[in-house]
Amino acid sequence: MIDPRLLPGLLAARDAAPGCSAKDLVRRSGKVRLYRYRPLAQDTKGPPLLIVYALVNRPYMMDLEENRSLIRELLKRGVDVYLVDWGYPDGADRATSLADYVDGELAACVEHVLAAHRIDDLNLLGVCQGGVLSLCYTALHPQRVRNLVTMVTPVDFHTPRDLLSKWARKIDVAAFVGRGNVAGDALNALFLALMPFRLAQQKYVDLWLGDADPARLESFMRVERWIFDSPDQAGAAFREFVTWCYQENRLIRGTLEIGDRRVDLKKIVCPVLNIVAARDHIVPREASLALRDAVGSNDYRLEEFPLGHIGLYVSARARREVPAAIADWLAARA
Amino acid sequence: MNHDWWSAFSPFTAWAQAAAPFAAPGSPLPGAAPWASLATAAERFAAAFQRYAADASRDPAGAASALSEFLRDQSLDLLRTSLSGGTVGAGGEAAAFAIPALGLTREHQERAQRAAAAANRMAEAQRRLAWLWTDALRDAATQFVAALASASTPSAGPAAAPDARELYQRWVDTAEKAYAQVAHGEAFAAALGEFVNASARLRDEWQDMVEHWAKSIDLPTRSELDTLGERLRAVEARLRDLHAPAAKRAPAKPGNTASRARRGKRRSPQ
Repeated sequence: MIDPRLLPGLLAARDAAPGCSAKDLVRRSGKVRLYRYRPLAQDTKGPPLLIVYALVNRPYMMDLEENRSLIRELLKRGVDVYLVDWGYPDGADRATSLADYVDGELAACVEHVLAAHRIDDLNLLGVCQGGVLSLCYTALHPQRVRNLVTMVTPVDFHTPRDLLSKWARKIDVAAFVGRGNVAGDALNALFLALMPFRLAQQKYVDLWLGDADPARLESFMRVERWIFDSPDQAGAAFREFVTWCYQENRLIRGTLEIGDRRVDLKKIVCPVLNIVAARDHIVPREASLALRDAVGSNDYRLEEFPLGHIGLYVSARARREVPAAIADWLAARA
Repeated sequence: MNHDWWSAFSPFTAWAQAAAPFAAPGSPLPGAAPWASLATAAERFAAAFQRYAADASRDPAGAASALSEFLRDQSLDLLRTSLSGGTVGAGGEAAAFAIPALGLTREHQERAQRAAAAANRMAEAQRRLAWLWTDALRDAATQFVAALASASTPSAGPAAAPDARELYQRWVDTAEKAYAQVAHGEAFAAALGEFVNASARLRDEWQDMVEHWAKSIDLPTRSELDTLGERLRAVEARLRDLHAPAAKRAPAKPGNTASRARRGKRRSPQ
């Protein structure tokens, strides 16, 4: 029987705000913001960690709520955390390119952190597409990155189970982007189409047939908001990313160029921690596993979790294991 | 065949009944209207299984076939709904444009013809996608009903009464597998690509039309904004170049890269 408290509970939960850890804005450039999180531990260990999220979703998934916050767990373990927030591009940003993101904004954020701490290198953590940006940055500026962590990051875009890639290769990306940006709604529809029964139907059935625990409903609403809070994509960067990565697989082939400079992953010689979700339906594990042979580092570690793309941030198991894996790995290389 | 467990569907029915008043127009819960279709779907889902339960012992093949058809139909409705925003007219409208463009308005006629052709391509691609969807749904329904029937045969012993949600979970698993089989295929990717490409073409033609009329009444156009944007970017780049030497950080100490490389040589235990 449906719990009569469910509908009122959902109404009460609909404005549940994401984000639980205190942070300060330390740099602003156009729509891009750099935040530093306030420490939760007595001492910080090693250089700061700069988190680079994807362009296609909002980064508050990393700090969704107290029980589901990778950032909060890292802070508790003494990691000094910075986060790049790419913002919501609009029509004026349509010409923003991958080079603008990697060599412009990301490089400026790194320089800001280095200058603030008077250090020569920092730790970088790239998530999903943000992992690709981080790989590009590290390959182009190896002296600036002491340790690199990649999470659910595609490296080989042509693996057999990569459904997004199969579809992307049939699309005329230049025509699709046209003269503007790419609507976040279009990407939402694409992601739902990867598993339509589960993502567009079963999820809501489970919601309705579950209990009316306010915490559960608030969590649901926060994740729901995050899933559909998709920024429009700057046209030029989107065109470059899909064409060069999904269609031409340039990253793994060593032919990707950012601002006229070739991205050679072999130039990444710093320690690398690659975190993979074994049940990822967006970035198949094989797409991430390719990193091992692609980088030049001899200190490569793989951490694989039997979770999905989103479960890696919000599941109970993720909360227990992922932050510890990152913090311990970084501490050993501080 | 033990049909007692079909009563397990009561949660679905209850859910539908509970959600319906909130989903109706004038609902006390603003924004609840989208639940109406889901509530109706749940009610139909439960009813179909009840029909199957009632008919299966008398006419197993007929009952299985009816349930398969229902599952295909119901799931196809989801596709129709999701694509309804992109549905375009086809056939008749395009035929009216299939003549050479002549005279004073030639350029406008051609633009309209191109838009109509793109709309037709979209409609055709949408039909192909719908066809492939029904393939997936047919396979899913067939597999699901076969598994259901085999679990209920006398040789398999008395069937334990599955929970309604467990049954629904099984249906979703089966449907996702069948869908993945189709979605990974060349034909699906080609149809989806054609749909996206044609819709992009249609949007371009619309943009051209709007731009033309905007110019005619002296409104700023997207092209003009883009030109200004390009000029601004060039100015910004020039400014960055001018300021770069002063703002540039001192390069990292030469020894740093080497020491990092040494650290990188250590292979950590896996």
